[in-house]
Amino acid sequence: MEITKGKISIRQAYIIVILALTAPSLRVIPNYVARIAKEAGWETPFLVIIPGVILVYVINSLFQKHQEDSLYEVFMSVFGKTITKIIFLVYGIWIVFLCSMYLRMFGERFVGTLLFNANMRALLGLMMIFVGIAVLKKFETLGRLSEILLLFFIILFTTVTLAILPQIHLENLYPVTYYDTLPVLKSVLPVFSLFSYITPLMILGDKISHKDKLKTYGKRALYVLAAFFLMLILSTVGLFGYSVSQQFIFPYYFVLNSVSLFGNVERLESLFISTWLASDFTIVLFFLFMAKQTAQKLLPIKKQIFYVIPLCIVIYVLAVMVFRNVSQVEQFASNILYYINIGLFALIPLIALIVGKVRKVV
Amino acid sequence: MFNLWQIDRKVKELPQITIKGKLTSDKAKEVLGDSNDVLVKDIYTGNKSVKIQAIGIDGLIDSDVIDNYVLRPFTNIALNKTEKDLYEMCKNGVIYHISQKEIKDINEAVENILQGNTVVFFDHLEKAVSFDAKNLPARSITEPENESVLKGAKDAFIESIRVNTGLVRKKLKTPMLRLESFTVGKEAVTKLNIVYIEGVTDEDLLNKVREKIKNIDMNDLISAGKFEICMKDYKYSLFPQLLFTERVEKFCANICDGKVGVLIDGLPIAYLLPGVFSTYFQAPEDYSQNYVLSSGIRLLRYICFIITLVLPALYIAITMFHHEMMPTDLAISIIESKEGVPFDTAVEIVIMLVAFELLLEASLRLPKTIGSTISIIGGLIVGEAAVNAKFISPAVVVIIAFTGITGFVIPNQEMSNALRVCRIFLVICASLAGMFGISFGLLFILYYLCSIEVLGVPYMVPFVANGGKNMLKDTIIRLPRDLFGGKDD
Repeated sequence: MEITKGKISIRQAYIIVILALTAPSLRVIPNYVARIAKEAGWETPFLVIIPGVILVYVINSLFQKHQEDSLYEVFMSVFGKTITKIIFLVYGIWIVFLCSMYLRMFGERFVGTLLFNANMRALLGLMMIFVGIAVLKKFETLGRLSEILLLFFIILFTTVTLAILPQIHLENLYPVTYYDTLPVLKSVLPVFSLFSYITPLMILGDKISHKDKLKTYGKRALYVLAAFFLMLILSTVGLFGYSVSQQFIFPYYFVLNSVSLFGNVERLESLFISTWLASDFTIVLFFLFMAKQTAQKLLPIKKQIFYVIPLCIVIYVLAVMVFRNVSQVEQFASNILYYINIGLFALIPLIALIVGKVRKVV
Repeated sequence: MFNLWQIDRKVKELPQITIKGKLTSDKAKEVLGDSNDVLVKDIYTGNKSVKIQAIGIDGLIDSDVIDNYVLRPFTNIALNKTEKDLYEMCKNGVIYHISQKEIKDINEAVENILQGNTVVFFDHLEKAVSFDAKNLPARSITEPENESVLKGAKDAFIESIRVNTGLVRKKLKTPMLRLESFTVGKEAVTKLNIVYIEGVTDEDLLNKVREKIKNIDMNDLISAGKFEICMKDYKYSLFPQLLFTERVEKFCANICDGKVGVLIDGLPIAYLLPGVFSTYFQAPEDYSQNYVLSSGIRLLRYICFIITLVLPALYIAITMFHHEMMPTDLAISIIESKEGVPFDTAVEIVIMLVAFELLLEASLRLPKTIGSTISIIGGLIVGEAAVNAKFISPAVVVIIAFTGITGFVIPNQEMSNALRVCRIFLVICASLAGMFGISFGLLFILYYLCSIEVLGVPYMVPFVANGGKNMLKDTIIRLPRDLFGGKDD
């Protein structure tokens, strides 16, 4: 796939999403699925493919006639100027909020597992500076970085899953009966809400080439994510059982704790956890790029430095001030986040498609 | 000669030398000054009003050729001829020489003389003709000193550009081979050739190389470093962006793969552009061995790359921050070895890394005959004594030794040097925050590597920005060509 100068390919864009999603998935999926779907939770990744594919088709249809445009231009042609500006204002606020939440999650994870005595504010500040510098550079760099990191993560996850496989208790994963149908369907919601981040990805659509392959690569990304979610659930629920898994805030940490390579190399959680930094970096940077692009569309300011610095400060302040502890973040995520995500990133594009088809602009 | 710091300081630069004046031998002599190697020969015509002079530089010209094939025919035909007649005859081939050309101005005349040509001036007409009869001092073609191989050709580039282009032509007998000539340098003019195969090399890439060369703003191009700094897109980057080789075989193979080659007069090496990350892990032997063996060795190089980069930092992180990662027996053995050592592990590692760099630097400066002394003094005497005196724990010595050895496995010295600096950066990160520090440092390095582009080509190609294609063709492993339709892609 030949890459146009100044743009990333759709393949790279999906890789960024996959990589970015590994950070929240580790925290959310095993815990949430164990709580709702119990031992049948491993079915969730298979079912999430259905709404996922629908969303990919919706996004693909929206961009059929807008190959060189971003989501902003698509919405402009569908909804007109005023409604688009309002939608993008809401998107902007929500993206900034998500960015600060993921920044805080990064801090909580490291302070809670590796750097017990570290100053949270300093840690978040360090990450924000790094991300702030990176966002001023080319978007292509994030695409390239994600390509390399994804390979690394695939190797890492496969190693962990293979190492943990002998310790998995099959009785933790069955029986599965028709009574589990509704809980499993309910557990699809948080998982799908994460996948819905492909919609805000298209805010950067004018920096993405080969959008004609949006559907093909979208489905591939969905399968990769489903496989990843399956590995997560199998290794967590399979190892500890749903009743124990739902009690942990970060259950995968304990899975990593149980990894033993060749019966001699153990307690590698520090090594694995520290590699998660890459995923945290990707998701914060990804959201910051989107926030920057949204600000660029809404504000008449040309120089990016004038909105990147305020954005970084706002995100940092929100991360430090709004979320007080990891439980608060968790509460926020389970009660509000998923519903708003689905509303903004899945329902609005669907409405846009319907309106666009009626008006014959998409 | 090696004053690279002058590059960005305009005040130190010499002005571009432009000679103004008539195209006459007197003017040329005036510019060249009173140097005893400047040879001036009057050509007798029997007519005192006719003034023809040949000028060349002793040591650069082939006197026999000039005497027998330029001066002698001139003398034979010159009697009672006018200057114009002689000039016309000379132009029309009476003076037979394969490489002769008309000179347009005095600048070109002086440049030709300095390149080793002989210029015949027709003063009254203000015309001149240059004869290429060089006999430049050059050593004979020898074996490569730094890139020797078991199987393969033994010829290496030398300091003469014409010999080097000849060597390339000898290997690449294709009519599509192109050599484009450029002259660079304000004061000391240096010739360079870009070499490529038309139809194989990307035209955009070629244009970028041409543009870069045209924009070289230097007084001279005598040292390799000056050329490199002018061609680099990321001037202050640690990582090499130009691949160089002294092997003709490697140069030609890369030209066939679509790279652009650059040959510089006076340098016994050739450059290949663009030099992306994976090319620094390729060695000439890889292509003369069985693909399984080559792939294994290539994979080993990448593993060594990771080890040499992170091992000291990892040791610090494990021993200072994450003791739980060590198997119990290993932990006990490290604790025992550290008994009585007054320094922190991080300080020990830094001391040993500095000592290692010192040994390396000292062994480079010493003559070959006594170079081995350093390894005896450093490795055996100082190392052994430092351990016995409890300055350093034996475990750290093992770690640094292993780091050093794995570093030497990387075929390209410039990449190896870049890793030495990155290694120290990671040691500092690990000393501050253990595994988190290492991750942070590695992420920083990787992000930087992904941001680099060499002449518009991403540095990490084909691992990135290539649609996932050819990632394993000739990178981490070397697959047989049959798997790719029996041809290069």
